[in-house]
Amino acid sequence: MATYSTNEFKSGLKVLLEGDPCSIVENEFVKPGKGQAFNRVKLKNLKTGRVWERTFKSGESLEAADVMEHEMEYLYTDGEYWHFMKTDGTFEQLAADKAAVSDSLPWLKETDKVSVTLWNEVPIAVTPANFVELEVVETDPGLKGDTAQGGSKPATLSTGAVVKVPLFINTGEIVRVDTRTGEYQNRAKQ
Amino acid sequence: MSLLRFRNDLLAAVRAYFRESDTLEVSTPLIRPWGTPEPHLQNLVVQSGGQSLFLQTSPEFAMKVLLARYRQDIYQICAAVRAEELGARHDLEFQMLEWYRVDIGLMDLAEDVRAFWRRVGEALAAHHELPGWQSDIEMVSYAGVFEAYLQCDPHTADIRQLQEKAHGLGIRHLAGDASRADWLDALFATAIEPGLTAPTLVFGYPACQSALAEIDQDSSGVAVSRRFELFANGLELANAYQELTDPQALYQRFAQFNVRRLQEGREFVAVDEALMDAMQSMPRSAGIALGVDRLAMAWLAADSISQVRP
Repeated sequence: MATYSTNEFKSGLKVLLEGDPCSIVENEFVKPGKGQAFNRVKLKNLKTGRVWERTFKSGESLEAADVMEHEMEYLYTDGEYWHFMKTDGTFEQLAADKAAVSDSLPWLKETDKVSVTLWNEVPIAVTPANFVELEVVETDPGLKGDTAQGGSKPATLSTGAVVKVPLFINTGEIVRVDTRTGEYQNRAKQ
Repeated sequence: MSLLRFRNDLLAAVRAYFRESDTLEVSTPLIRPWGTPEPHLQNLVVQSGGQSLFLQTSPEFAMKVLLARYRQDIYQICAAVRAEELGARHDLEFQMLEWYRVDIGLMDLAEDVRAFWRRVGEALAAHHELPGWQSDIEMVSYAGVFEAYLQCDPHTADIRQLQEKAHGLGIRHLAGDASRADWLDALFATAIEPGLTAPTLVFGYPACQSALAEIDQDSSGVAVSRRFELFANGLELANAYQELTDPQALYQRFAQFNVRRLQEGREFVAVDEALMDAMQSMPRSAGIALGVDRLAMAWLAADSISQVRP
């Protein structure tokens, strides 16, 4: 297996640390005036999404992680697994477990395109598109004549996600949501 | 205004500051037959006619030879070269300002540094935007900042406590047999230095980190080194000592440094004979080395050394 030394660490490089696949976010060489040099590295654990800060001996190596990202279409869930299909023409299907999809569940709609992160060919994370359009299945009745300004109210979307929407949004309407912040963007055309 | 102009005006202001106190500008060789044995500074060695020569990691040894010979306040602006140091805050070659004053104590030098900071900064601020400069420098003790940032006493905490703190901060580059000084350095660089954004002098370093400074006892009887460092914008800018004047003590430090080097798989570095000769007549003195590129980074609030190089 390939290894990378600290002087090759750069943003986006995929490595194994403490048994987990990580993506390097930042790598800084630190040398206290009279002290030992080291590298301060920020790594994103690709399984948990958490960012770790760790120090490394300058010149220390980490094993490369076999991590790939594929654009796939979300098909359905059988309750235990979530099934995705490659969109590269192979129609190859993969099943992801709950741990891999849990963060994206609020935004996962059948036939939507998502990015699936594979580690040793097994899905470990699913990233929805930055913006998704979802149907409002439940919200307090809208007020006629209300405009964009004014308050907001909670709305439950078809995926179960609850987002704050303007008062004029009604059940049955489609809204556009930023999946990175969970914020309502605008009313989508039906 | 251009970076070229800024660097020119910075050096002009530095020279004006030293002219007023009749501190003489000197120029010592960059290439000498001896290097530094300090365990964590790596010499860049060049070959000439079958002889190994050392690019100086700082002008310290050569300037101390002049200091012993002339007993005169001196300063130098020169290139310093340190192998293996490359990063946003480091380059193999950088510009250093180093000065020594005869017959003064470390606290006098601290006042000198504050005056330097104020006067050079004011001279530059008249013509340049200095987002990272403010005229006053805070003074804090090493023990004080350690207590504030890490809730432990760097002089009395046992090494296991330091290790636990380090592990909690993701410090994993030190082996179990690392020295107390290594743990303290790693903790300081990780947890404290990034927080020292206002100009700050840290004094009272533990005795195990004295490098080439005198060791003394503080009011509570703890052995501390007569050394301070200057930080600003989360960067280490300068390192100052009450200089060792005892040749025997210096020789012992060098021997300890070399033991450390060999333990870490580094090469042995021969003692600087010219410096050892000079130590026979070394006057009481204090000196400081200040990274000029780092100073420019701090004052211009730059993130990387390349941003302050014209």
